[in-house]
Amino acid sequence: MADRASVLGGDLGNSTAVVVAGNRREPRVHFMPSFVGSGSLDDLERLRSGGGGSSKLEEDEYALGFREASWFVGRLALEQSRDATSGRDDVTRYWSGHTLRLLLTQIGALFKPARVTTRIVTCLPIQVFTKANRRAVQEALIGTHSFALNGREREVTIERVVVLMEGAAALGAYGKADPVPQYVLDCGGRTTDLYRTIGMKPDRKGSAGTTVGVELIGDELDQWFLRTHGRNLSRQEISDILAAYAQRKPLPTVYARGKKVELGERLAAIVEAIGARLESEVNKTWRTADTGGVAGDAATALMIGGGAYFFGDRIKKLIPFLEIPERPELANAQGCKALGDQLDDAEWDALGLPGTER
Amino acid sequence: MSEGAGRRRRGSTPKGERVRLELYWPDDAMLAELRQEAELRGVSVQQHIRDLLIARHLARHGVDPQSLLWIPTSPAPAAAVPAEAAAPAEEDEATAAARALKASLLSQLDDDDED
Repeated sequence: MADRASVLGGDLGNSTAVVVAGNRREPRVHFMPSFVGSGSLDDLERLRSGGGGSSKLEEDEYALGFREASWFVGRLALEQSRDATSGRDDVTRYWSGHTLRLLLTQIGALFKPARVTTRIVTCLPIQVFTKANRRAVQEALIGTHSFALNGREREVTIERVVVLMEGAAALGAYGKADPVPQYVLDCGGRTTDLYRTIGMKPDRKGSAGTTVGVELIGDELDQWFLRTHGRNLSRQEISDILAAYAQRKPLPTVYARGKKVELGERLAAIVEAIGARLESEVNKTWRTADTGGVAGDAATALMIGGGAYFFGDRIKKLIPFLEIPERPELANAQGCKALGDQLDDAEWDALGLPGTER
Repeated sequence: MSEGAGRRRRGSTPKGERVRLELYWPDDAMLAELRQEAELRGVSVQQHIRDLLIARHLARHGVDPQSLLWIPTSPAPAAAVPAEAAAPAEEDEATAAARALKASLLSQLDDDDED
């Protein structure tokens, strides 16, 4: 008898990859940096045991063996791979293997059994969301994939893949069912999507994609650091700095030429400047005379994505009724999961296969 | 990192005290049981212990302990009060939204020719 498929929601963005499993009563979430780089478990164990430390992988360290290649994924890629990449600026990452490596790692982390069967709802940014690209994603992900995760042999079968537009996905969890105007501002790593719908039907005129994203903050901080302190910040340093800022924690200590560098003031200035650019884009796209201000006719106005931690307060001044989920970076994946839980077998077939010409 | 996540909204970033707990146990039956339960739930031991502390709090505030202590190998608690019953209206709203999204996608199947 075939295994019963687990329904997953996934948002494998260009900064953070999020997969939601479980059920309404006990949702389970896995998230990690969307980085993959070359690296083998054997080399890592040799290196670590040689340095006197423990060679055991920590809970959020992943080494993936897949299709005769070996990779570090997530934090381990950031820390240990020379060629770690999140595939940013490369739209083919969604179907060229990068996203599949992330997904297999996260499924392996979420499920203990060696063999897992899944059906997945995932999403693409507005700029990339075309029929051809949706099909490419489905064809890349559907199938039975054998791999090793942290040395353990695994097999994941992905039976169906439904691909949504990112903002639409969040409305599946946080939107309204009625045919009313809804606005979603999805601020991710490299892009921010502005998405307007009537009910669940997209309104192309009120939707736009911009290249403002959280990673711009890291890029600008890095350029300033290089100019003033003579070195680049590492990807790990940037990641730690942004995470600390988002969580309102003290910023990590960073050194250059033996001296501690104070980042707070500069970082705040950069966030302010990029926030102003984002505010301008929102104003431009959503301010209309007949809607009484910015998103003035909204029944729902939602800000999601990790950018909400950085720019949420600013956009709230522009749209006072703006709602921000407690974990805005999870909203798209939660919406994908909510949709997946509503689909019966025939609907999975209709929405989740690449088409009859396949 | 794995964790549970509900459907809650926030106005601003939540602030709170962070307490870090470090335990050392020799391998004993209780730890083995906790490990096994955590594995069955698909979460880390740390996450499982955290959830148990939350369950203790909820049990002291009137939620049925049988439902709070349920793990995947136990029989489902009959008519138990779910731990997340605090926001049924929101859950229903979410289900309605997901259904509306599904209906919209299915209606677009035939005229899906944007490119």
